[in-house]
Amino acid sequence: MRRNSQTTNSGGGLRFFGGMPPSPVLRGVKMAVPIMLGYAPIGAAYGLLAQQAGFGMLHALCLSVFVYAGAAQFMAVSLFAAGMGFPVIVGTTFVVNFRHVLMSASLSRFLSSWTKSERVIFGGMITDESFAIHSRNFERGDTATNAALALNTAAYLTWVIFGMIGFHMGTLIKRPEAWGLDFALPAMFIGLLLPACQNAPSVIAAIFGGAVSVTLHLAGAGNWAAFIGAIAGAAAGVCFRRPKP
Amino acid sequence: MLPETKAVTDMWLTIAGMALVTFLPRVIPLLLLPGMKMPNIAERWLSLISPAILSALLFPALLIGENAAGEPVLSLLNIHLFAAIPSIAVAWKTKSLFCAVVTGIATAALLRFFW
Repeated sequence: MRRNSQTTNSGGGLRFFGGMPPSPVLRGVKMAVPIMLGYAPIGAAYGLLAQQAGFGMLHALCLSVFVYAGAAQFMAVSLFAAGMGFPVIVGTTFVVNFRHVLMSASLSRFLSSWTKSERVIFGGMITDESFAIHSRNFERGDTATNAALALNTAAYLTWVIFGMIGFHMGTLIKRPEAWGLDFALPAMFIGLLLPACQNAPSVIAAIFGGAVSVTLHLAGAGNWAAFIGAIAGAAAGVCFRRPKP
Repeated sequence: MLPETKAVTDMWLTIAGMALVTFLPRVIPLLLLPGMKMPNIAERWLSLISPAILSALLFPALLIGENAAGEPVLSLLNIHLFAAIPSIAVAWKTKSLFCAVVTGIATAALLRFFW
């Protein structure tokens, strides 16, 4: 199922250098464009929020550089502003970000040929969005290290740089949602979820995972929703494929 | 109110703690799992994480809103849910992620203009 094709082109769209195959780095950056479209406005919104909550520039920057996790950063800024301390903020961050363990485990199936340091650098920059694109690429047999790292780096730099732009001139960006930019990431999940639902188990996994996650949100356990939803959804899919007697 | 220096130290400690508890779950499976012999059922489960987690992230973005008190409620009349319809159609038809994203952004902007 994996590595059955030598896919090197990521599908239609732009072509670089008049038809010559683009370099892996360019390919990675190009695949990151939908992520960058979503990260730019959200990153700027984070920067603005941090500035308004009284964060110093260096603190706001270091959160982006060393944590690099949108939901957790928004949450940390609000908790700080509400006067919460180390245990609450770090504990909540752990819960919110623990879903990455599933993404890392899922991607690890394809990366046994990578060196340990490549895997550490790659893993440190896994996000919901980059996971979704890597997962699609790896399933297609495209595990080129440079393209994958370039994709991660492009998304990472967009997040960090727009965080700083938002911090310094966030008030200039009045309402990013007026431009529809708040829908960039949900639209990306749609564009990646549909092709990922190619057989009955994956459809079951998606429906069940989504339903569990929505239920947990409604029950007030939104921080756990993605993690538990993913575990339950994938388990439901596995059960469905149990071989018949 | 804490003295200024203690507050700043706490801030750095908190950022370092956040970085650590985020980094480890991202990296440990990638370091430990490759090369490990895994039962078939675990391999199958891991292969279904992608659709399961994508919809676990997407569904709430489309279906969950907030009531006046800021509590999460089911919301079926919201811009994201309506903007999802053309995005799904375009993603289905063109198989292009980029086209789906641009369609979604444009629809959300239009809806917001007329809502």
